[in-house]
Amino acid sequence: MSDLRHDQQLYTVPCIYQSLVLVMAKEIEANGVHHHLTNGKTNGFSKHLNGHKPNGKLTNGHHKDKKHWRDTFWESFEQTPIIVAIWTYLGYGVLVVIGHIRDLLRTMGLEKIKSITEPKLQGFVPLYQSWESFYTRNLYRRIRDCWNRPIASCAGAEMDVLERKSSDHNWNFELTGKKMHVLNFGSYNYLGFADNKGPCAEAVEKAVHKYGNGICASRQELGYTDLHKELDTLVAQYLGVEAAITVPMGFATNSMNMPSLVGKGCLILSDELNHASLILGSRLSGAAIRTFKHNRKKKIQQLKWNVRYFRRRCHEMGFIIYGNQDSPVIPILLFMPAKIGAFSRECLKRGLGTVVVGFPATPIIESRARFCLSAAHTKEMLDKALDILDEVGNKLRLKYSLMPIPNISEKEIELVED
Amino acid sequence: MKMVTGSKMDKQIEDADYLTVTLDFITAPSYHLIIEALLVIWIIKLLFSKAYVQETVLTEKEKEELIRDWQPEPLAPDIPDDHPFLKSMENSIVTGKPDKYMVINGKSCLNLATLNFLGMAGHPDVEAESIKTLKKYGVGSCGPRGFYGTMVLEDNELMAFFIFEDVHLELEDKLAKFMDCEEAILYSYGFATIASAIPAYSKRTDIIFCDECVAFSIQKGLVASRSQIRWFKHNDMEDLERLLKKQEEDDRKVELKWKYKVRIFLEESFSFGVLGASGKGVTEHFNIPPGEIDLIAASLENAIGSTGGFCAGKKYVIDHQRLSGLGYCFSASLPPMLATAAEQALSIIENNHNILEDLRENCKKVHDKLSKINGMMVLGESISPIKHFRLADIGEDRDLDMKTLQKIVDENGVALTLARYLENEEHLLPVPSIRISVNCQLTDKEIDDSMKTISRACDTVLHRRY
Repeated sequence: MSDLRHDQQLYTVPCIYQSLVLVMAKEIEANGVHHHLTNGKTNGFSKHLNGHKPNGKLTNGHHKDKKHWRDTFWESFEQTPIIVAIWTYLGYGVLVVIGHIRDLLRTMGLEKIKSITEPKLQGFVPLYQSWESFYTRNLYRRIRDCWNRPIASCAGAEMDVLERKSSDHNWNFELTGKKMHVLNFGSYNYLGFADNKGPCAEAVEKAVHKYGNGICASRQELGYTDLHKELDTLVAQYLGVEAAITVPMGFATNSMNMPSLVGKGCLILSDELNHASLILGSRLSGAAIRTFKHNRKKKIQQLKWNVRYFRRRCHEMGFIIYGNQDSPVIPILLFMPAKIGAFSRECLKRGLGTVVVGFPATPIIESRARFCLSAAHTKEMLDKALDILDEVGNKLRLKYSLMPIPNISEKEIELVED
Repeated sequence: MKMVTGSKMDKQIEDADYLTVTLDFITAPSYHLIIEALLVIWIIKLLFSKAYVQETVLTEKEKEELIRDWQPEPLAPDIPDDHPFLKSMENSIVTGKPDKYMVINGKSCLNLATLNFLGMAGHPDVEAESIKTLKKYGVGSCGPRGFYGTMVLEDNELMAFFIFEDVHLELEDKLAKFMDCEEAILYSYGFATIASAIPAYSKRTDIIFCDECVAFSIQKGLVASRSQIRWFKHNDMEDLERLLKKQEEDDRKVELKWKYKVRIFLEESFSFGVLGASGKGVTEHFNIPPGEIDLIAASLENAIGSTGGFCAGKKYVIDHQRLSGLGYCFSASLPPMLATAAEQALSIIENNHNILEDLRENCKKVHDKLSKINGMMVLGESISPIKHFRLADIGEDRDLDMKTLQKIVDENGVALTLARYLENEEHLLPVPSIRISVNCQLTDKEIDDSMKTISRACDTVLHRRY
């Protein structure tokens, strides 16, 4: 039999597909012009609501009169200042020592065990490694409130975060019943398509009535609808490629389909900062893997006014930020473990919802906050967020950057026109 | 305490200036000296062992030859446009819902193909609830659960009492209660559920005993864990025991202590919402307390008719995945509307156990009828809603058998499908079969008629074949 490794195992969700079909169709209809009309909100440069002008040169997706991408390529991974690195390691050192002392107290029965630990079964190998639970118990627990915050609205440009309270130092949480309306810089809703109103939501509603919620079969086993075909075709057309295949989960796209292209005897050259799904996909393929230092092989992405503005302002304020000038995910380096929780809490208090990540999702020394910019953010929102960021940055002394402010935007795109 | 070696010591004794050092040495506890001596030996050993690392050194000429001879393989094999899999897929495009009747290429026919056992995928109540959630939360969650991907549905009337009806949390709660487990964790994709759960617990140094006929998602989870795999024969507990005993022998040799001390992970994608008086699956069917099983994983894409999957078990087991389950941590959470759909489907099952009974009855009837068809045989238990309906005599040529079965499928007025596998990737490739799926809503007449059609198609095709 041939080597047809289709997404045989991959089920598909028609109703969500409808919204994708719509998004793609709109894009193509607009003849490659990337103006994302999102429910009356604006994405920044196609409508003039923000008070800034579109950049005439780049509103066309084809970049015909543009210079080679290399001329405008700019990204930065500023080195960790040595003194900051020392303090950071020291911070973790203190946390680990205290953690061990408290674990000792716990085994002696002097401190009450509030976490759920594995019951000791005679002769059984523990189900997971003790270091991992040590980390959860003693480090993660202190700042647990910064993750899994429940929200009571759509993950749009703004959102309602439910307030939680802990009476036992973050072991357990209770909802207080209060809601906080905050700016959302934490969701990957770059273009505002996940909204609960507007064309996407309407299309999804229609699709639910027509196709139901699930499909209950893989594509090869009568789970292939006309909607799937339409989306596959549209994606291919949108990207200007011959064919496309769509999969219901982003993570599975990378991790499960990579083995169909590479296998034993192949070599994968993988960027050291690749997403977990790509790393898993490489591993599943059985190929040999070599990692290389991040970047130098990437294409410049779609230019986003919001991103450049936000990044430039962050640089001006003196934060160390990572990544390409046009990447809508903006990591701001926090370094020290104590600042992870403090940053998230101080921002939320001031009405800014953002995401913080630390070890093991990042190298131990590179804890960071992550701002996800969306086209649904208006300039007013960006400015408000930047003001909060400035204030919190001063308070927590986060302005580590020793670099001169890079000129990443003036030539390419006009900033604000008052 | 400074480190002093024996040869130096003699000189130091002569030198009065080093009196303090000597005193230190003499008064030092003996364990200290032993540890240091061991350290020195270890360092020496490390230095020497390095010298034995052998490297194959190629000459420049050899390198060039290797590079010249190397022929890159094509990225993907050339698949003809009329490949039977592709052809049958393109020839049977579905429009509309995968209900009891479904429209294939504009033609409506009885659906015996998709795994919508309880009719949840097109259930009006499920749809209404999911649309309610859509209108509140929008289309996608746009982030993992940790990053504002946990949605809470607040009801205005209930607000006064500070009661929130969660979307993700509520579904997890409900699944845990339904399964009689302490905790459940929700994934946004059925395939990724077990494939993420296995490597969260099992690492390179572990051993997994696994049924040789497990689903493809489990096989991928095994690969991702990089553990050693021992395959036992399908459903054969004696073979499993044989392997466990063998392992015990091996372990005794390396003086490990564990005997049969194994953990049980159960994958229930096809039994969840099907087996047991209330649909809890294998544990309920065999009357085993769920606490005996370390982890139960199931997809919500079959009987529940939504998307995603979950793992359920003890809190300490499940919570581990919230930081270690790759598909959980690094993927956007399940779109809230689909979480609501699953929740509603679960409520329907809870409030109406009759549908499960209906399903079992229908399964038995279909099984009975299928087993009477000449030239064919049906595999498995009669209460299973999935029937693998295969040729009684399997030929040598798999492709030919597939073609024959495909003809039976094409000859039919009902929607049928062949069971599809990634043929080169499966650990143990099952015999070709038509995969018939039973729905609880089928009436006796519909079963009779469809079975007659299948029987007739079998006769026509098989008769022609011989």
